[in-house]
Amino acid sequence: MPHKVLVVDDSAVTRAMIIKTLDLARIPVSECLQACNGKEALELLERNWVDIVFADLNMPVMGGREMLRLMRTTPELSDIPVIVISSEHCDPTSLPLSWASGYVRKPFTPEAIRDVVEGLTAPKETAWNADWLLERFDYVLQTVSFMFAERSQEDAQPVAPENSVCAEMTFIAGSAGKLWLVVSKALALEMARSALGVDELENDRQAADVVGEILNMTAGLVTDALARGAPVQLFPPELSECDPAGWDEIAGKPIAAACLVEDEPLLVALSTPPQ
Amino acid sequence: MRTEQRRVVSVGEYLVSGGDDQQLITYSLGSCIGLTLYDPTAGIGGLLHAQMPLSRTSPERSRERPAMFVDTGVAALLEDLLGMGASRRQLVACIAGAANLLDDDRLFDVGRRNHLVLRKMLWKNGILVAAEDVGGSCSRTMWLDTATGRTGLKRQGTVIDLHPGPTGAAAGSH
Repeated sequence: MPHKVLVVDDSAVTRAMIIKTLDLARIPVSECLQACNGKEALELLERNWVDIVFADLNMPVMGGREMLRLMRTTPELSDIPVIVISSEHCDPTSLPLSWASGYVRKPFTPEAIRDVVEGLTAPKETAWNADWLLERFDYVLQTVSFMFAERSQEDAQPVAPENSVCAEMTFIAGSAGKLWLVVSKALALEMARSALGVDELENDRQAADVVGEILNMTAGLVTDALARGAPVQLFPPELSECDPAGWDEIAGKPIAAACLVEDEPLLVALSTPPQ
Repeated sequence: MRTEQRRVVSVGEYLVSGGDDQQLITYSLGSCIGLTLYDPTAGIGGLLHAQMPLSRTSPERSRERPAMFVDTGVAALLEDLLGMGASRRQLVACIAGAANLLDDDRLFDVGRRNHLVLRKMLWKNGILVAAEDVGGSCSRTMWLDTATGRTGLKRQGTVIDLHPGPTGAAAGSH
């Protein structure tokens, strides 16, 4: 579907370059509004519905930061995606830039703009399910410990191990949530040996350490997707021993994926899907 | 004028060469995985064509033909190269293959497993991968010129220089 866009930059040449780039990148545009600064842009937004705003940061009268702040605190404008295109190096995690939907540094290539816009307009991932969670976990497991997670069939769920290691961590990504990873002790030891590339561990704490780290990295990938641009905060994982009852409790969380890794049971779970 | 000798590495085999002007070559790498290891200082190298990831699925066969399996194949190739005087820290590793040819639904995932077990073996042995061309759904041919260390491959009719070797050697024939 073509987008109605607003390009905000005090340089007419830059505005023209951004518009040409949208065309070259084959991003469908139905109408393109232009403004020289944040104030002009807000005046245009009062009278026009716009799908995407491209905005510079440093502009006379009103800069991009102030414009973003006002947009995000105005209910009718707060949901409009804003892509910041600036020659400044910015920390996209700090306010008000963390309110931007994307950031492209000048000088930009058409591909950079295309990628950011496509990221915004691609259908949002809605399948917040066990496979989605397991896919992220599996990527971490393969990279760190060179192991696979094999999804169990519905009729053959892994049996809760007698002794397992449980890592639990809290995160904030838009809203607060929790992630769990429960691993049989035998598997935790093998995950650590594999990650370190050794046959024998120095001590068993290394196994718990690896389980916590793998959960931490999984949380990084999961919260990236959950946050949708909102600031993310991860708290250190807490480790404990877990019995079959504890396993069953975590297996009952809203999103839970039980699987086998090298024939040993493993469980990864998430408290709540995003709203 | 170079008088290179070509030696073909069959499926489930590995060959090594030390100080000779040879081309080690292997064909039809599908879900199988090819590994070249080359020590540019000693001029010693080898090529492995392994079929399956783990020897524990068939210990008997792995004793007869260790190179059928990635884990025992890498161990055997390394042992030979180190025995010939190669230095572990000098080894340049290149990987090719591990395609998903038959199982789009990841029913067996042999290619992905081969790749993962190979990376695990190299990590365990302290060897980083210099270059790799893996995955997809194509068959590959891979070769190593042991005089130069140049490693190349061919997939879908395209020749790719995977690693130029320490001297940046000119392309060989294949």
